[in-house]
Amino acid sequence: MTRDRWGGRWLDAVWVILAAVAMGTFVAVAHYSAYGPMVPLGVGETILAVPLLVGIALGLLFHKTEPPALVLRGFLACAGAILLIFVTLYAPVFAGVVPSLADLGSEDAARLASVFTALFILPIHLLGNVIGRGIAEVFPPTARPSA
Amino acid sequence: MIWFAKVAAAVLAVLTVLGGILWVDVTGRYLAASQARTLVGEAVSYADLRIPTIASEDARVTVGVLFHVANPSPIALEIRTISYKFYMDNLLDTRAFVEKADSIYVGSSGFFSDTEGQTVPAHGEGWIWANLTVDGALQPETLSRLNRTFYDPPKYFPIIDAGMVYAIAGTSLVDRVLDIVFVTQSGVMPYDA
Repeated sequence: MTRDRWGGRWLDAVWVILAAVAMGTFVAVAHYSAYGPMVPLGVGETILAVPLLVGIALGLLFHKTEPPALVLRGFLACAGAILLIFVTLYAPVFAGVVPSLADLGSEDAARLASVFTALFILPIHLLGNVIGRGIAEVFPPTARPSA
Repeated sequence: MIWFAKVAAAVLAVLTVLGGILWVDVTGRYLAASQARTLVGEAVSYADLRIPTIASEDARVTVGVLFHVANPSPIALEIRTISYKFYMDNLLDTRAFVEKADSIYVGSSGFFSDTEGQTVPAHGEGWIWANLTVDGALQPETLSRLNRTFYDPPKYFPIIDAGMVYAIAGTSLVDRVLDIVFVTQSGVMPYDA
């Protein structure tokens, strides 16, 4: 029983991490369109679409959990995504390529703007969580196996 | 796991894999481009400078400046423009360069690419000639400034102040390097001497 519970928690953690990576990577790539990504992404469209889609997916995956627990997981996924965006922004510094981002000529305001924009992931992702959970409620209970 | 949860898990996994592939691609280029922008300023230099002996006051003289661009970064560079101002120093004029610059200025020239520029491969080198021509028949004063040598055998004492505009291959980044200065202490012999 305890083992099943821990297994379930590990699986939940994996979904949260996947959600964080999916959102963080897409939004980071959208921010760096000047670096010629394989697929050019718009920042606005990506911040709207990916967190919403990932949020719906998490809402569907966690359809049995209580709403506060779902929100907490969504929040953790967003925190992970924002952390990933932050790490991407400072990747040249962390990799030891440049002592500071100012050496690349980028302004503090521009960097702050990209991190600030990333904060919009949170409300959109939570909205997706609610929509996903709502979609799960649409399906008849018989379609869902008991816990 | 119910069917819609399986679909959601699959969508999440696909998004994560796609995002990861894109992120690795962009971050790798971001790091390489950052390295290039940091290092390229120190990697541009003068490889050769050819000023001929000026035979007559109405001679047509071509000054050759060979730039050397070393690219220590793991991403290719496209050199779009190298422009420079050419001065011939007058050692008898003891004023600071800023004060006498106008009186020793010979001309401006450079390498101006009308297409994609000259590519310097990753971890590679590139050489670019950028010539300056002075026609003594049309520009006698300019030629007289150029034809200024000191010591025996005669030596030129040129000063070059260049700037370079380059693009980082595979990206839309265009950057520039300023103040690529050539100054000689010992002078330059006429290359045909």
